[in-house]
Amino acid sequence: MAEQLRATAKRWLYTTNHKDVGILYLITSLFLFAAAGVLALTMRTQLSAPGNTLLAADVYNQFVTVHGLLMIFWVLSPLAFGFANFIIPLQIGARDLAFPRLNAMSFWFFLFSGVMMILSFFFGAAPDLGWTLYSPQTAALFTPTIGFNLGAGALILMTVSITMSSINFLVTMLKMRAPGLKLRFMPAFSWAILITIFMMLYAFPSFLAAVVLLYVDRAFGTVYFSSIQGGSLLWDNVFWFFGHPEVYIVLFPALGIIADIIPTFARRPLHGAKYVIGSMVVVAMLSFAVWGHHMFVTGIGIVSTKLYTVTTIAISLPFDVMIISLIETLGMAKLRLKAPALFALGAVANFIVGGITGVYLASVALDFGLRGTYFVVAHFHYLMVGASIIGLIGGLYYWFPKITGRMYNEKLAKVHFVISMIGFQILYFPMFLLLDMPRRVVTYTPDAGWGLLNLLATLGGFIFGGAQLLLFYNLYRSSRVGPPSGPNPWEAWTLEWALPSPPPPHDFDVIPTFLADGSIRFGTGPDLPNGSNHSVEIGYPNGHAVGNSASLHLEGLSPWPVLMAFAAFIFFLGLTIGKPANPQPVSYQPFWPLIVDGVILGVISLFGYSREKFTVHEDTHVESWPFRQVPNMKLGIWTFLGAEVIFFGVLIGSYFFVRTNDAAWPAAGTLFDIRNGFAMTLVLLTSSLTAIMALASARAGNRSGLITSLTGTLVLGAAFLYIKAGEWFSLGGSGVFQNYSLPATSYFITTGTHGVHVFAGMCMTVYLLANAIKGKYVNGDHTTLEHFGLYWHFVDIVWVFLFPLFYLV
Amino acid sequence: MNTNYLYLLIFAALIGETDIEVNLSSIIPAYNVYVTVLLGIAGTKAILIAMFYQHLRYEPRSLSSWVIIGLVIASLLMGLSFVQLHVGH
Repeated sequence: MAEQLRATAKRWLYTTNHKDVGILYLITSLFLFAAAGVLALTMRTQLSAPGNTLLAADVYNQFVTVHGLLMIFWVLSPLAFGFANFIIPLQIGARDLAFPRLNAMSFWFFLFSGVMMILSFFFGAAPDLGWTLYSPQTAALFTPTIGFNLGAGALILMTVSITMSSINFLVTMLKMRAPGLKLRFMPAFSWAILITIFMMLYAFPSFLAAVVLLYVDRAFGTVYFSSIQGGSLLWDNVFWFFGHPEVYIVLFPALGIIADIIPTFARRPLHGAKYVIGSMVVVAMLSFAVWGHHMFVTGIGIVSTKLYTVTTIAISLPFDVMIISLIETLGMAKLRLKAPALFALGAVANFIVGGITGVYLASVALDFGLRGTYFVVAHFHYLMVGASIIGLIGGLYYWFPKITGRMYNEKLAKVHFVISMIGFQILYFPMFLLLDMPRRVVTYTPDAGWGLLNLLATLGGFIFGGAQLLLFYNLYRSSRVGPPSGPNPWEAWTLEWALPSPPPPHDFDVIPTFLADGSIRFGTGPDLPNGSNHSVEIGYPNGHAVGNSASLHLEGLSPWPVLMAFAAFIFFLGLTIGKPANPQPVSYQPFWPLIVDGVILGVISLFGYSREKFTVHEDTHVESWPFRQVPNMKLGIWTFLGAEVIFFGVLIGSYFFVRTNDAAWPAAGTLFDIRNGFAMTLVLLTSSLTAIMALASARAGNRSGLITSLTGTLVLGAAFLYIKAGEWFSLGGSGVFQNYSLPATSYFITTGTHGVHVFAGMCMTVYLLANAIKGKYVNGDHTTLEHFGLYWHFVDIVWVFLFPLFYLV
Repeated sequence: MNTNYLYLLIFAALIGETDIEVNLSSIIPAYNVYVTVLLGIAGTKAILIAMFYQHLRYEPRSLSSWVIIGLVIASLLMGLSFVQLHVGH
């Protein structure tokens, strides 16, 4: 028994298999869905009658904030990415994700970030300003609790997790599709995830930069968000630049699920599929140009308000195309009203209401009256809950047979649907009528006239919440005693249904091939790209793979992802739970024992991770347009650098923002010595030369040249940091600290972040140097050096811009 | 051309451009023009590093798309924020 328990624990802690990771995401996000739901029901109880005193105002504010943050970051996206983890490789014919250990690490970072967010309740007080974390209320002066720091740390960990996931999924979907699976033939859910991760890749680094700036303001007393030139308007920009794409990030996976479910149960292909995909692409692009509609009341100028009104109305049009396509798919169809179809239809209906009410808010005049009221609460809950959660629940029922191999209880699922939809409408529709009630108020007076509608909403909340108990019961019970489902109970057409339920650990005995007529074959044949004459055609769409290739078993276990995530967790815990060092203005002492433990464990994990023999198949006969000749790892590095562009772009953009908003900025050369900047530039440019010469030496098989060049890179990196440290100390000696002024704040944060990147590059150089001394990289195995170079030159490029911006203008 | 010579040539160009940057303020007195030219020179340095040290010149164009998309999106943030602050008030 103990042995079995140990084996089970080891499997789930060490797994890197995409299906296991997907199940971990699903279970964790459902648990957090329940936790965030309990917070919501408590708030609704508080609001059910005027003058209620169930929750104190400060506790209510914490509940509002953590409910929002948990639902958006730790429920909606992770639930979708639970499906993505499990289903996407099966839909596109990949054996796993491109980087399985990175995938496991993403999950553990996500889990520990959620733990950290919940822990914030136990350290003074959780974040309590609403999920938008508006500045300057977030300044340590106004919210001095350690719990708030923990919340910020949780958001940083969560964003790191999402960035790792985005890179992994992009490489997988662009490089590892089964032969013949052109991008345009991918199922709607796969497309929705591809577009979602594209938005995640570019939106979340902006959020990461914003939270880092916020955290540094709180921990080190910098003044980005407490200055007049930065302040609330700067936060509004960097937050909503991420925040509006985030709306589509949480919505698109559900739309993709709906667009897979409706054709399956209508027995018709998705009407105008290419227009649906095209519309999603347009929305993704426009999503980065609409954020200002959240700022109509901030005085951003008439030109901007007009611009954002136009883009906001424009972004609603592609959604019309999607909805019309879904409705057209239903036309003349003999719809099978199973639970997944019911939830998909319910989600579409809710989405129409939520979408149309959003268009009202694109009007500046209406937005002035409606923003910050329960009308807005109703609008976005019709999207977040009505469309997204309901759609995702449809996905739970749809793929439950595939994941567990068992059928759920259909009657119970239908009862769940009916009660959920009734409860949902009673919960949220009255909020549209509460358009004069401010959101986030803890209570109201009887003469406000809001009592009845609030009571109704609370009643609806309990009906909706209670209905979800049926879901949990049904899933739990059916996973144990439900009848076997067979491989394809819905007679669906996408590839995952061609596999047994649940699929074997290695997914495919033989990689499938997509043929031009839309059929799928397993094996090889003269007419297939793989070559030989052995061919097994599946009984499409009901068939499943044959054969058994134990050698392709990819159930890799690795302890390092969970350990690295745990190291990051305790490191951030140490950074965030230190006692206030100085009450006025508040700053925090780090809790060094935890930080040191985190660093030690992190170094051990990194070492173990890099030394572990973990083989990942990189199949050659795969569909990989438009990156056919680019290896997976190189594409991953470039994708990471794309995210880094946004991260530094936001840091530099924040500098631009305050710089162009401040007439009294010191002239070039008065605060920062140009000679220092010039020297650092020369040193870093030379290090780029030595880095590229190291690669050239490795290619030429010149070991001594390689070692010399790498040593040069390391020494020059150290010299750069030495000059930088000297400059920092010199400034400190003159009384110019990070909290001295905006120029000092922007300088210390931006060059400090860049310095951390240089330091990380130096750590990589030490690793490369140690391997080079052992004789590696000179026998044609120099790809690691090439990948390091991409990073190091990028860090150099960033400095190429920082030098003129901070020293010469 | 021998690639090592090419790398040295690029390095020389980068150092030369840096030297121009440092002395540019004495050549261009108009502040706005000065800043624009300065950032233009920084841009060309970045392009040289990306093209030759990161080998983007020899890679499929699709690879550079990630960075270009990132640059476009970051520019959008900076550009529209600038409009918010300084246009139409």
